[in-house]
Amino acid sequence: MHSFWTGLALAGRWLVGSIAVALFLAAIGWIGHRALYRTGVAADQIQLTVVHWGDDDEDKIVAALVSDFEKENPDIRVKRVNPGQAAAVNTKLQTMFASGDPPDVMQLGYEKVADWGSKDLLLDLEPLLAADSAAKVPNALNLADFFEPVINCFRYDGKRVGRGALVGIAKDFTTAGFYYNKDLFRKAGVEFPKDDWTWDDFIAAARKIARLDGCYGAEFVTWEAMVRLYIWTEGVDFANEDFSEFRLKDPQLIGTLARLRSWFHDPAEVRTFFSAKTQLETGEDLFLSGRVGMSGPLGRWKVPTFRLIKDFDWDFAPLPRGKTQANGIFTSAWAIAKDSPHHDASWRLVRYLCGKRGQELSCGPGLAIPTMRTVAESELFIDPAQKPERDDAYLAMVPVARTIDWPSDPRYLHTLRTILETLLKTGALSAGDAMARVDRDWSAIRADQPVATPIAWGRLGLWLGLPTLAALALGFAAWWRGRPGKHAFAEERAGLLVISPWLIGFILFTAFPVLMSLLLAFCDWSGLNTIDKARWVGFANFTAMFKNETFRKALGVTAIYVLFAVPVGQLAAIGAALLMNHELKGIGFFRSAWYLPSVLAGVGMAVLWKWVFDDQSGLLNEFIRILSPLISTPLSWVGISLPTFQNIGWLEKDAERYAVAAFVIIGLWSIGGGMMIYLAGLKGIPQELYEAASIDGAVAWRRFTNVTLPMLSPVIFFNVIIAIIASFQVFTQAYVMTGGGPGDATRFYVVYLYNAAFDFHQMGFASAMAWMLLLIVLALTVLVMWGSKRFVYYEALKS
Amino acid sequence: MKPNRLFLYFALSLGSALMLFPLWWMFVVSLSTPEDASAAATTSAGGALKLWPKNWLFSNYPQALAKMGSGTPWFGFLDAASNTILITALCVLGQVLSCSLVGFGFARMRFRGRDGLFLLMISTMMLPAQVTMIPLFILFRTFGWIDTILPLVVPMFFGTPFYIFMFRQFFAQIPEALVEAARLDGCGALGVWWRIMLPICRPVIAITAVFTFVFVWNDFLGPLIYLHSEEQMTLAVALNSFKNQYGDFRDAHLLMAASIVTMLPCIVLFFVAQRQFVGGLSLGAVKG
Repeated sequence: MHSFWTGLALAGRWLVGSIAVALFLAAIGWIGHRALYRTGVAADQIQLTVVHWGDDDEDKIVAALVSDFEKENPDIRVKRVNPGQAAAVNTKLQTMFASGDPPDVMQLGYEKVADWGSKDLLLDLEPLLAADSAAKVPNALNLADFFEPVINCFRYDGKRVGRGALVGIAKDFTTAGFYYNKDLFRKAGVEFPKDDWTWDDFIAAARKIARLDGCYGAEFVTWEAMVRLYIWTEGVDFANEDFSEFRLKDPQLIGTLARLRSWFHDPAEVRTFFSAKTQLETGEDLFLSGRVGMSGPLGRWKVPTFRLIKDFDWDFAPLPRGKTQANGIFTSAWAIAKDSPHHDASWRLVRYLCGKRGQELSCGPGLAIPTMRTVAESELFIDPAQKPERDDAYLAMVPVARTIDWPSDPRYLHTLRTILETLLKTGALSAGDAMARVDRDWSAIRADQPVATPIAWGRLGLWLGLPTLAALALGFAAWWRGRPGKHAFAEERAGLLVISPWLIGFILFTAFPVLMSLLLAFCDWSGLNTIDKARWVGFANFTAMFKNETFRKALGVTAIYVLFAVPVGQLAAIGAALLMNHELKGIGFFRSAWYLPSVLAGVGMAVLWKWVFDDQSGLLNEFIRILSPLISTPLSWVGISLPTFQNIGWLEKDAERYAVAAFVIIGLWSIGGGMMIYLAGLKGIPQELYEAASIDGAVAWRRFTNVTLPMLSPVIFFNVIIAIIASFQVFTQAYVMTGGGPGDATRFYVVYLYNAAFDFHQMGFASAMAWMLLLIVLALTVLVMWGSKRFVYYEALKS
Repeated sequence: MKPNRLFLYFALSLGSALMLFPLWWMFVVSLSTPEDASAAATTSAGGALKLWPKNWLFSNYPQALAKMGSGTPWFGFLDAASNTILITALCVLGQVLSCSLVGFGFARMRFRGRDGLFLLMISTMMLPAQVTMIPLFILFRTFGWIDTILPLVVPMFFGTPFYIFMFRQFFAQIPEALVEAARLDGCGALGVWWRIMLPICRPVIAITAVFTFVFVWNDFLGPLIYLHSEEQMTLAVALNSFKNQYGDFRDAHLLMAASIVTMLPCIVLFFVAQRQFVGGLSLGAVKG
């Protein structure tokens, strides 16, 4: 019997091994075949790189256009890069620009115009348009054919968006409004929204619908752009036109925001609003369930999804009016990099992408409005056979729609976003306090203009290079002088030779980048141009760090996380290892099962966790609800009554209190690595020690405290240090699941570092943060080492 | 030793269920019809938690894989899979060779400055990857390596501190007599490493290989930054693009199917190597 199983296991291993080899050979074959036979770029062809985003439908449109363009222009080959969501696009573009190898053509969102325009990275397209019309090019673009307010979203004059050089040609756009569930409106006896409905009508309808069983009145999207549209309808704004003067203390602004906050958080508002979150990344959409009356402010992009609704009737209504009617334009454009060597070919491509055919294709899935008036006003867009019925409502808003402009420094937008989230989602701030905080932060950003000077390479080289050289020379001299006899010296050379792979790798891939980032920590560099554009700012990045409220918050959140995650995780891992240390049948399976989650990483996991922590019907809340009587019932016998369990909005409305706990729980799921190392440590404890202890009459607990723990202490020490280092660097889960929000509730250190580097274009500040992290971790490690001297038992040192 | 076996099995099974449940859930969703999948993914839409697949739609799998990438059907997946396999194989090879060699040097060769260099190496383990990301990119660009697999593969041939550390700890325990015997037989340093050390450190090799495999296979940021063209993409990046193209709850079943295919090699490898693995760790290879 035994030999049968061993044989089977062996056969299984052989099978897996042969499959692996076969796959490897197949992979080599495929790549080789690809290299030999797939058509590359011919010598007389121009290769253009296009970076864009978009889901499957959009991707297909761009792919079709590009392939037709290539057929019409055999001298051009186009390489499309679609990293997917906007964050990946940003990382991608940043590295491409930083390396001096920008894409030729890229998709540009309206909110990035000032940011990118101010870095002087984009080509002014106006002269190209003029040249086309002068040369009477047959398919020349005529701006008069387009919606003017939409075109103007991509103008930037160095200070303001909306006028000046044309840095992109808008490909499509949308205005915003509310989608509403007609069935619920009928059921609640509410009139359908009229074109000039007001916020009072809106909230009255929401309250009525909320009274229906299990329904919510409305879902209000709290993106900063949407909030801005909302305050525009009351005739107020966060700042004046060019953001030179902030209007955050305006009582009217605060009152308008307080009203919105009260709809969310006022105890009298029962189910008037559902959670503020309706983003795609949650993978859920309450409106689709038919239990929410209105959803918005949202743009046209929701239409393809909503068209799948079969259970109820719906339509689109324009944004309600307040004192005035207002709206904004959400759009993206095709832009050309200034540093591209192929301006002419790129322009031909952009002309094609924005041309009539491209506009007509984009009507297909229904997710955006073409920017060419003739196409937008044709049956292609206003398709009576397709929902929504009120396609014209989007177009009717164009005359009152404004450019949603933001200052060129992305930190303004980011600050506003996080504070609005805190105001509206978690409700942790009042409107007045929130605006006061925005005012403080914005003023700090405005004042943050460090004195930047060119890097004094000569002086720097002298100060750093000379001592380094001297130290190296001295070290080498000492090493040479102290060289042992011939024989030993040969061994010495052999030893250095053997470790040389690491030594070379260290110099190239560690020492050099580290020194470079140290240099950057004292510089101001956007990372969008080549590194020779970096400017010296001295310690400004470090002083700015401590004045920065978000930085302090990020450090605090991370510290709390480390404080809980490390002990909880290590205790769980030790417990698991103790369980696993029994020689039971099938223990191999259990070990594997417990370890498996540590091996898995991926996007599926993030979706899953979102679902576990969902506040309405998430698994964890259900679990707690089922278990809570176990605690509350016995307590009620002795006269203590606990309040009934309320759903916890782990990553949403209660994020300020519970989000860190949620991440600690997620961490528990991957204790496998630590468990394995502890298990190894347990296996290494000599059995005789336990026997001796038993003879001495020690019970299980004593054996654990007197033998297991001391013998395990070096491993615990090792694991704790590794865990501290890893916990300080917590990033991926938070980045994928919450992106740091809501507010700054999960903005862990590295998440903020990433924001600084890739969202704010502050490579210098990010490098300074990285160095600060290194110092913190180093200090903690030393502290742990010093503190552990008493507790850690080293066998080797005793003998 | 007579612990309550029943309790042990209960605790172990409960833990296993908690650990494996999400995976099972992904599997169930991957076999569902689009309607069931979106119901499972949109919990607040009243979607019930399904523990058993209603339909066993294995056809979701070829459908998902064929849709990867934006060119000819299947090409995206075949490209990504081939690239990932090649990169991973090279990385594992490079990692095992370099780390064992360097670990051997630190453990068994005598040269001045050895302990200082070792300490230096250990301390680099604390460096956050973010510190070196941009400078490394600039470096690789000067080499002209962008959009090739070289930036992902070559550094692996220069060793990684964590594994070097592990190899060193292991090698340090091997009796000197064994090494002496080999020396007397006329082996040089490289000979000792190749003929004596490598064959007896199979558990550490297994750990290094498996960890490296898993890391490289799942690595997202590296390929995202260094590879531009779709032809060169790895599965992790392709999966993320897939998520962005089909991440809508409408296509949850396809996303889960693609995710599972991507994770499958790691799971299989883990179960196969599990014995080696546990055995290897218990040799005290990682004692602080």
